Amino acid sequence: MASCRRIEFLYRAIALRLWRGWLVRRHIERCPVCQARLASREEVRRLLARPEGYRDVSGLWARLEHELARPSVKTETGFHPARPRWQFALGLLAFCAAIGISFWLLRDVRSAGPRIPGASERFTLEYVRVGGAPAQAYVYQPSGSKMVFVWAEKSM
Amino acid sequence: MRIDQEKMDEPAKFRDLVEAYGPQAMALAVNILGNCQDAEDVCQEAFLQVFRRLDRYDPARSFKTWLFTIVSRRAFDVMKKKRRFYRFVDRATLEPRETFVAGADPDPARPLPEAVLRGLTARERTALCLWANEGYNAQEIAEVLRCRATTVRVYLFNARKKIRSLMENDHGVLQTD
Repeated sequence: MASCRRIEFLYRAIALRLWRGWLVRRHIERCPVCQARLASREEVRRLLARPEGYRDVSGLWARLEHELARPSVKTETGFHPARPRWQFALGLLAFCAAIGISFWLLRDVRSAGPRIPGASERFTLEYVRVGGAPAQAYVYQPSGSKMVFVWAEKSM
Repeated sequence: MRIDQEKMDEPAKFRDLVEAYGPQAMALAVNILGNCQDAEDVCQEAFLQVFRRLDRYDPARSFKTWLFTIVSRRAFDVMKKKRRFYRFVDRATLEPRETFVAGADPDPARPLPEAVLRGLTARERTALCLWANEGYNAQEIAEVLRCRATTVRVYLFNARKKIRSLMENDHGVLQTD
């Protein structure tokens, strides 16, 4: 009896479902004193609606029959049971493929700049003269273009 | 009752299914929802779902458990919708219920007394109904409610305790108008 009170206290004190379930399984389900404090199956049954009260399913069947007779009922309810799973799989695959392709395209554009070395790395101008005089030289390549501009400026 | 998926396309076979499992499904729905009209709607939807998705039924599992899972889920959905509606309207209209007379065998089709309906959660009522009416154990109820058996034990314990308390302090709380 004292242990039952302790169990009840522990049940109330720790509101963890796992802990409570464990207490129920370990003690309450086995203890006749604790079981006597709970409503029995028969007492519960007396309060509940029971299947015996619904033996006559003709009303339910009439409603079901009416629904089943409707040819368009499946589409009206938005439910497509006949649609095979492979169609969903195919749709998912197409979606994934579209995502993959978009990612690849975007990545290609984004990485085009940094991956290709700059024009100044690929071209080296050793010595430039303009009008017989030494000149400043610049190499410029617009991003994404194969065109290379070489700009020479006469030093003053 | 053996469920043959290939033969179930015939409405006559489907009727057998409704006759065999309809009363249990109705009782479960009434116990969750507390009124017959909603329960009938839920059962109708559940059976239609069963009929259309019979190809998804795993014969290794119990058909009754599968049906109860569908019924309880549909009933929870209806409750969720109703709760939203009642919150909006701020009033609840429930069917008038018969009086529970202690000692006498009550009408089995009588919906739950108001006190039980309000005192217990929907999941507790589901667990209780399956335990008392169908003789399900915690593991089987857990399969219907898609939760752990430990959780079901807690539901059952709480529900049975609440009912015992209602019965002990019954100054008309289990009587309904």
